[in-house]
Amino acid sequence: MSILGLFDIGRSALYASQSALMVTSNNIANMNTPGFSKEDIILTVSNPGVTGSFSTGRGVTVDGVRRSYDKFVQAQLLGQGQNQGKSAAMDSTWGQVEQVFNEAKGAGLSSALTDYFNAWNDVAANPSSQSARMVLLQRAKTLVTQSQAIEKSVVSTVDNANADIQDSARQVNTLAAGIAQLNGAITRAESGVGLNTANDLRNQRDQKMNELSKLTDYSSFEDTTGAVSITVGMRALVTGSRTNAITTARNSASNQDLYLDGINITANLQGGKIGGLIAARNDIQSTALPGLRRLVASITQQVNIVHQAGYGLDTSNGIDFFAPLQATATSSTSAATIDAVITDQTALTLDEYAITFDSGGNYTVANKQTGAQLVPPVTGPYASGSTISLPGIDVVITGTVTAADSFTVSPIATAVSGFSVTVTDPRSIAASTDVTALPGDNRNAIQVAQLADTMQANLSNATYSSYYSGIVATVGVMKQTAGDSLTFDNNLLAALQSQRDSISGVSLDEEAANLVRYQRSYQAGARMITVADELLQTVLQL
Amino acid sequence: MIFNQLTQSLSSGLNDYAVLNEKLATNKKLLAPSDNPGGMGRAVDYHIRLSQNEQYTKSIEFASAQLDFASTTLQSAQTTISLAMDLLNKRTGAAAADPTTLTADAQMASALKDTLFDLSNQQYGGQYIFSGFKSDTQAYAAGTYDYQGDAGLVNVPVSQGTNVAVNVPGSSAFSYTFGVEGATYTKTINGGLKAHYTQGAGTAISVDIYDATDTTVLDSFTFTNIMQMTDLLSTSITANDTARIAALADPFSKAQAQMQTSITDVGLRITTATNQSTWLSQNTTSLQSALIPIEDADTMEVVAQLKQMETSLAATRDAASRILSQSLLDFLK
Repeated sequence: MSILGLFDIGRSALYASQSALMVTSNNIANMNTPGFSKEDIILTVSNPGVTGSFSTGRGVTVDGVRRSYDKFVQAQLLGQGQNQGKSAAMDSTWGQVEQVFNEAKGAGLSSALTDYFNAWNDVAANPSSQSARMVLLQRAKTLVTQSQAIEKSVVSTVDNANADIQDSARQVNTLAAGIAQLNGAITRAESGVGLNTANDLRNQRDQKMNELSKLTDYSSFEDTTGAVSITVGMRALVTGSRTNAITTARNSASNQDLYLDGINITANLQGGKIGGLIAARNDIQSTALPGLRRLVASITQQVNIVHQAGYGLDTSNGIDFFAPLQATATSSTSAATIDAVITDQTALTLDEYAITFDSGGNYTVANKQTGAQLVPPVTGPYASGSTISLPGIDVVITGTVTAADSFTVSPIATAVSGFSVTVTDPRSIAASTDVTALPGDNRNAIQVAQLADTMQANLSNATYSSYYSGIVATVGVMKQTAGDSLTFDNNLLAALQSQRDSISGVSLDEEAANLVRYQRSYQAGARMITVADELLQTVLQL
Repeated sequence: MIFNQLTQSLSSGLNDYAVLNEKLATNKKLLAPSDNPGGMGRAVDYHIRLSQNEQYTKSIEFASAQLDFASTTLQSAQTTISLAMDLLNKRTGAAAADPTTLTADAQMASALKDTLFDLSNQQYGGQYIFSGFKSDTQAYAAGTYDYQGDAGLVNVPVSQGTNVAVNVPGSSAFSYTFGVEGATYTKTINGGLKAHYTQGAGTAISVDIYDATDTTVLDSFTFTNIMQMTDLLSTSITANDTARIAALADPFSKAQAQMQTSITDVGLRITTATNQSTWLSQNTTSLQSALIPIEDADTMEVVAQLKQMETSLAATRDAASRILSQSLLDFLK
């Protein structure tokens, strides 16, 4: 090797040091960038040159830049991100419901409930008292207002969850589009050979996948071109640089369902924010909301039954105290129409019913909550316009039904929204059981007051207060469970994040040391060129 | 990594600190259902029962006041009946008829009748307390002294499943019966005369005074209540009708016994109400005691936890400031 080779070695040292300084600088610059993985420069010895009978080195070669990255930790992070996203959504949603039932801070229904029945006791103590009767009407209105405020808040929470699901689906689509775009870019960037990988693009894609994991559960795999395919709800969301958008549509229960590739994937989504919102929404709609409606329906039903039998000071009789319950009927798919009417409020069980049809045009009726067939069974061949008799409810279906059709009949769906006091004149409050015993007869008022302590068959033999405290406890358990899960998932996510940071995170101290190290090696390389130049000068001056 | 950990520690610590602060400010450890779902369920139940107890206590106060009033009224009536009986005994045993005394005694009997009439028509809170369910109707009609109420008992719930009647129907206080309709008994009165007493419909009692041989009816009269009896006594004294006066002795005695029974009954109801009040008070204390471990925060414990949290937060902040200020870059000049 000639003396000029020293220049090449010095130049390679300068280039390597400069590249290393760039990597170090880039690490420092991105130390706070979410999803950034620390990079290291890969230096190798250049192929040696042969000088006579021995070989000498020809400097250093930059082979590439390597990401500090652990696939296993990243996979765990994605999985835990899905769990944390779900827990956070459930905790937040149940937190809103909990505040509505937070008896510790004066919210909830217990005061209104006891005040109402206490007011009946006051009327019983002084049945001819106009003031006691007016107080009772006021307490009843408070019970109505409070119940409706609670239902409104809970329904609003469900509506918010549905809106959030819709919004999250849009975010998923945006992220999916970004990932698909990055897939294309990574594939193009890595289509060459060698150790070169599109580190920054991969960091960006990892970050988007992390964000996606917070939103929904998914599975992914990376193909040989470096592109990742993502499936959500067992349907493809991202394939290479192509995406399928998630769409949303309201179902018969006014809940947002999610569709991917034309298929309803709602039931398959178990994790992430969307999974958490779906789970919380469904739990609220199967526990707190029907619980509240059933409680109010039972109060309406039982108070009306007793009140109807009594007499007011104005000798009125047969009057409902609250607006009577109304049955609602909904059709999931059918073109046929359904109409339901309460015919006997004493026979109402307050259960909701599902009417389904088979291919032979026969219908069967099941309890919607338990799924069990009614005893005795209510079944038969369908004839348009004929009446199907359920306990206390007559149902008429008109039109053509198919085997896939199902109908829901509920006596409680509008129990709270339709809850109102029908008695306006305090004298019409039926405190008496005998029209000839007015005004001192208080036996009917006592019967209504005693309802507060009566175990109600349609509330699983619970009293109103114990049934209500059961609802509060259920809400508390759901929030507590969600909170505990969130704490656990947050801690686990933080631990995994720390693990990832220990591998991929930027240490400022390490980078500072590298900065000095590569600065010095750059100075040494430059010095080497100076020495080579001096040597050449020496030769030229010979 | 260190920065993230510090941020999380501070955030978590501040959140816990806020919760402890709220516990200290409210002196409650149960701030939301999720703090203790089972405890919250029990607390709701206990609060409802406390509210019911409060209502029952209010009802007991109302019932006790009305019953006290009824008792006082009935005791006054009892005193009045005793005075009437004293008068009756005086006239029964009187040997000669002194017109002046007769007039005075008759006036006194009339005054006693008026007193009984007033007492029987007493109102409490604007309601006639001796009219049964017909509390807006005067119990006894002026002049005829006929009962205008009914036999209804106004029961007031004083605890779960326990009612106390707060009124006394006049038909059971100011009247009496001695058997089923048609039942009779006989008493020998002045000069061997025989007084036949027959139970009529409701509280009507007819009296027939027979001669000593018990074959000829000398006099007959009927009454349904103590006012009518006293009215009869007054007219009998005026007429110095000693046979009729003597025939009224047994009914007065029975009316007095009936009144005593009513007073005792009212007294028992007051006792029941008082006992219920005592029980409710004890139950309220028990429920409040049961609520303490569920709801109330242990102040000392919370203060200690607060101090602990303050120290922990201060240590975290101190550590953060020390760690974050340390950088190799500071030493490289």
